[in-house]
Amino acid sequence: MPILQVREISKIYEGKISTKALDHVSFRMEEGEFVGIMGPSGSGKTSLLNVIATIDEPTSGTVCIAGQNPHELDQERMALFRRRRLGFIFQHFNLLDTLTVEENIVLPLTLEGTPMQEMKRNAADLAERLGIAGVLDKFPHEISGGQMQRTAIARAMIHHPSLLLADEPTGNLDSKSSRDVMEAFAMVNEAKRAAILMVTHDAFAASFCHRVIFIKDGSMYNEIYRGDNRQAFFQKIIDMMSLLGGDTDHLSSARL
Amino acid sequence: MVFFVCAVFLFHPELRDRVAWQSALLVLGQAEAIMFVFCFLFVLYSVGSFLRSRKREFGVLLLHGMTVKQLRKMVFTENMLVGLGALGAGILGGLLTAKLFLMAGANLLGIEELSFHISPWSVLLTLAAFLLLFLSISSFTTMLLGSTRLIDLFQSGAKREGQPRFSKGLSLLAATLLIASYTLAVTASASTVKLRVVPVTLMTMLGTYLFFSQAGLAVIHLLKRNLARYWHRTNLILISNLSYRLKENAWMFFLVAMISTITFCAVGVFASVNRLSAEFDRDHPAEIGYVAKPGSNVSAGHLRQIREELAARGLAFHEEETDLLLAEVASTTLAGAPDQLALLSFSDYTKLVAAARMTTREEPPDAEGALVLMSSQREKLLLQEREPASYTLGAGGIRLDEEGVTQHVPISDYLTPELGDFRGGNFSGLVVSDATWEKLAPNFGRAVYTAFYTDAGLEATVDIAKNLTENGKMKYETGLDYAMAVSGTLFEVQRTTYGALLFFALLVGTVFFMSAGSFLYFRLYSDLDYDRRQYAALTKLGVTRREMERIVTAQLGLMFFLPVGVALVHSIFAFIALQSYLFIPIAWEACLILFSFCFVQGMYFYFIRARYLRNLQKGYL
Repeated sequence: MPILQVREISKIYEGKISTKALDHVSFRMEEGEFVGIMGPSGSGKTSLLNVIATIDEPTSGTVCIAGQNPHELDQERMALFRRRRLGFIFQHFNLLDTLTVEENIVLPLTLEGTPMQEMKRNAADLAERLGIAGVLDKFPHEISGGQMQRTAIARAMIHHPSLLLADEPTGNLDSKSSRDVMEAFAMVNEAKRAAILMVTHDAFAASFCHRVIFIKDGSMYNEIYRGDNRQAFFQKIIDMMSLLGGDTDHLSSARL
Repeated sequence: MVFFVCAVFLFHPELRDRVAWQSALLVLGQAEAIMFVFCFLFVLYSVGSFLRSRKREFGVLLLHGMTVKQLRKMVFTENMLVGLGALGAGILGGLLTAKLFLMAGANLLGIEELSFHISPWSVLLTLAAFLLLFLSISSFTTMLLGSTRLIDLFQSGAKREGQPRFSKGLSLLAATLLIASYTLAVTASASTVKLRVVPVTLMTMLGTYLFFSQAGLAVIHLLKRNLARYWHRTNLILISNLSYRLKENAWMFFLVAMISTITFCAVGVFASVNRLSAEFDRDHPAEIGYVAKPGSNVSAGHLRQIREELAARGLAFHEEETDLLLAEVASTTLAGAPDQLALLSFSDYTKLVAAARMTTREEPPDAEGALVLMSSQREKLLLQEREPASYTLGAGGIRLDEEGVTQHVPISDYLTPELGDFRGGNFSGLVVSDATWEKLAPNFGRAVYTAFYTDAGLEATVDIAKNLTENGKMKYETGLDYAMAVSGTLFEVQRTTYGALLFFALLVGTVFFMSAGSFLYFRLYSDLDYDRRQYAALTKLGVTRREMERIVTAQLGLMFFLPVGVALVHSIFAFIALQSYLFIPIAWEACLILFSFCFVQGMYFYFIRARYLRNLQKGYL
């Protein structure tokens, strides 16, 4: 059974001038898959992620996560669904700065009323794997960006969600931190068999994925698979991006 | 929005003006001054907090090349416009509701309806005062803006720095101070309460501040230690947020708590004082009392006039006549060392008590003893607690020692020379045994006390013998040949005065209380941006709407009710202390007032909570 099945999703933003952000997008993700979504600015990446994340509603089409369509649920259940089945990682980390690293990590579990010992154990385990065990007692403003994003990964992972959704996770990080964070993603993907869907601009970050889906103007454009060689994959992504145009260098393909 | 609240404010002071032609002019003037100072601080604070929340906007303006001077000019003009608008709306609102307030005021004062009269001066004064206020505040605001470095403006409010720290020592000090002052308040007696008032108030203030800034954090720290509770569901978010809120708002909490305490106490006191009227009968047993000083030759005429006026009103009355000895005091241990003293014989005392339809089972004093002749029930506690004094009377050197205090007040206190002071209590004279009285009688002058009793109510004797009294009384000390008290008129005067005080205390109190609530609201408003981002993140993480509302409610609840709760506890102890000073029970009044304030605060809380939740949710989804 696919972990995520997106069928014919369209999203139209109503207004004085209606804009079609997504146009009959369909794809599926298998369990344990690590998928990247790339595309030029305004291509509808974030709209797609928001729809999958149940933050936004599709105008037509269905989303099925682990056999359930979350858009059929009411607000309350939808929130619970997000909390139990999904994990989120944001560009701006969105850690609560009133909480320590450890408290941030266990936050989803506390909301569920998980027993104390289990929370402690899980947090310590994840922190160890992500290399942030040393900063568990620190507050977010006391640690580096890379550590913050790894904390966010731990928070997104701690409740073993069906699907991990990441929105530009390296957008705010320097190259060293980016590498740390992407390696952390690869690690949780392999060790925990976590399915990850990541929206990114960054070809380097995308090269960690098994498969990258390119969208343009709201429609599926292409998808490429990694194969064995990450370096070659990286090159393929770069090529595809320049074909799509307007992404890294913000020049349209017509001018190239 | 804020200026709506301000407008409510603004129209209050000028409302006060309008009633100003009323009697309590002095009280009014003071209230006005307090209101003005308060408004000033309040507007300053509100303008400041709104400017802070607009820092990013100013940043954008500066980025696009607006000069600092232009920015200042813009802010100044904005403030002036808003201020003028609020002022206009305030005066207009005041004019519209003036009649209502006049009616309410008239009702409380127990006087006939006030005419709908608005002096142009009141409008002018308000205009002038608030124009001045807005002008000065508008010119201050640029200073409030602080740094104009672009980077500071853009990054304002983005981060929270450091974990709140607290000191154990100071937390303990806070607890100690509060407990100590509460203990002092509870154990205060009539005589010590005046001495203790100032230190206890200071201790409480310091204690309250430390409580909010230190002890509160200490409590949260303890809560955090209990991981099982702390890490339970929404508690994690709630409690960690609380510590920051406490730290950032300690000063404001303190202000609000103090303002509320003052309000509670002031209104409470005035409401209780109002109750004093109920005890009026016991302090002025005779409807009309008349004392002819020794050698007076006007008394016969005066008494005849009184009888005629009583008869003209068709009132049935009976008279009692007794002699008072006015003894010269050679020396005394009493503070103030009076030289004249009224002496009443014990049998006359019982006779007067009986004439007023009161009963007593008191024993006559010894030959050398005397009972302190109480001047008013409210002095009772003070008189009972002070050291008994002794007197040596002139002409014969007879010595009298105080043995106790009379149970009743047989004679209105205006009719005899006043003795004692405010710390030991005032009294009217001494009651001595019949034998002693007879023995002393030849040596001193005699004043004749004539009392008129009727069974009709106090209202029946209002304005009798108007030409002989000033506002119902002619004090013994006035220097005329007689002293006189007309209970009906006295009662009327007292009732309206206390009514006026209560009315203004209520008005000022309400304004204070509302402004305390508004401080809280501003505080919330300036944090709104931050909260919105936080809650948006939480929603994405799957915090349900209901959980969110629970967190918000708990946080707001704490902000609203913690300071007011502290103020409540303070006031309760203040009332306990006050009770030891007043002889009438004030528990009922105190409860009523505290309860109604809590009720208002509760309403306010629900209103603000709904608004705040709506504002928060506007940010996400």
